Amino acid sequence: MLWKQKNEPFQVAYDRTIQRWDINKKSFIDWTIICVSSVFLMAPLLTVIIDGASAIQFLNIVILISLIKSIFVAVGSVVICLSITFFIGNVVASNHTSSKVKWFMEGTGYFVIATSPLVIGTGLFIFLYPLLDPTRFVLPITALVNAIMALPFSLRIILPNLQKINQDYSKLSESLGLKGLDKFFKLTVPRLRKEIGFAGGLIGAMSIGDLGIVTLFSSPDSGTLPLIIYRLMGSYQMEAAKAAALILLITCFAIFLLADRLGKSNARSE
Amino acid sequence: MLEVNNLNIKLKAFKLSMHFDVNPETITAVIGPSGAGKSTLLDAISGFTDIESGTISWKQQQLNNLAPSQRPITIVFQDNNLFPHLNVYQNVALGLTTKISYQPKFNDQINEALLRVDLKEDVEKFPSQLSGGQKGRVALARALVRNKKLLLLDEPFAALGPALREEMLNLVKDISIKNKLTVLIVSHNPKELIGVCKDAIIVAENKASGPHDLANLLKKPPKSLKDYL
Repeated sequence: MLWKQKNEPFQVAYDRTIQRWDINKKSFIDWTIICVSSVFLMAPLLTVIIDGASAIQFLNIVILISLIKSIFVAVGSVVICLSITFFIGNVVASNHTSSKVKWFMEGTGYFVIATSPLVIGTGLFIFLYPLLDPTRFVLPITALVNAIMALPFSLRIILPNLQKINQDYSKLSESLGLKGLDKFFKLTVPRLRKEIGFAGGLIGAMSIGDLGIVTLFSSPDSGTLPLIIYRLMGSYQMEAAKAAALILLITCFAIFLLADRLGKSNARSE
Repeated sequence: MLEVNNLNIKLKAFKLSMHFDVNPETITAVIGPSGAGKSTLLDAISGFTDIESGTISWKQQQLNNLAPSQRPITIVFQDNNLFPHLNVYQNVALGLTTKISYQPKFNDQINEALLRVDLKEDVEKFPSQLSGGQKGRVALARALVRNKKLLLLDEPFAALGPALREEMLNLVKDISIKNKLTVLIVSHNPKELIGVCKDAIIVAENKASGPHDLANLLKKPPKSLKDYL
């Protein structure tokens, strides 16, 4: 079945890989499901690619500037989201935290999934408006909100493995006095490279394609790439919008692949 | 001398009360039926279990309120003694420093310890490339560089074959004499320990007591140990 990925080794003691004999059978059902679902997925993507490629000469400097802004926002989101994830994760995975605190922390992280970015954005706008001019802080605010929106996914990817690390190695670390940042960089990061890469790629891709809060805060002459596409379409500049959409698609994939590969590149599993 | 004085522990439905001494610079066996609480006993001494009442002291110093890493103790667990993403050298180095930066001043000490346990050739290897015996040796090398006077071994050689187990026990004996260590070793094979340990602590029926003479115990086991032996 689909979840029996061949390249994903069973993690057993000391990172050894076990030969899996149950996945070498050809499965007609699997292939049918994969092909049918990829038609739904690939059709719109192909349209973007073909139309975008034919309109690529309509790319302009505004699109490229907004692309750079989008990349900054995405990188910011990844950093903020992973920081929050590890903050919550360390509290939840610790043996010394009471179960009520754990429940509250984890619950807050997952609760975000029930709220819309526009709601959070509107709330932030109302909250910030008397204090400062929200339009001047569009990009940081967008990065922050995007990070919060990606938090449930990031938690879901990282938390179970963080708990497993804690379960397996908390006694050893405690007996050696390995703690704090040393523990984070010597134990947590190397053991979670893959998960951090995957989560980072996901957060980045989600953030770069997001068209939510930025619509509330952005001034007319600035904006992230998705907003620029939206505006181009609104002003009937369809060719430029197609080209920009292609750039967005490529960047999305590139960010995800880059982060995911970085995570896997040095991950040891023998 | 390690003195455990009327120490009481309660883990959900499980209770254990301990009262025993361990003679300094000896290897003492911890024996008793499965599930009697031998690992719990080591956990309590090394600080991984909350204590209800009683005291643990080493050379008149109370250990009760010290964190595991601050106690004069190295513990070798049943498993998960090594970090799989670190090589042999790095795993041993953790016994000296937990800092991220590489510290060459410890090189000699680490190499000497690896030489003692006969792992000089394998410094670059990762735990997944080592045999069970070699993993045990790495843990012992780390215990050597930590140089804590109490060494607690929680059946670390249980998965090894008889000949290898004997070899490891002899290595422990050798190390403990040279470094003047006091060793507590949990074992399911008390007969093997006869040449190594003189004393034994019995863990059975929710109590731990000692020291008893191991050879005598095996000859004339008390009621609580008879079925087990």
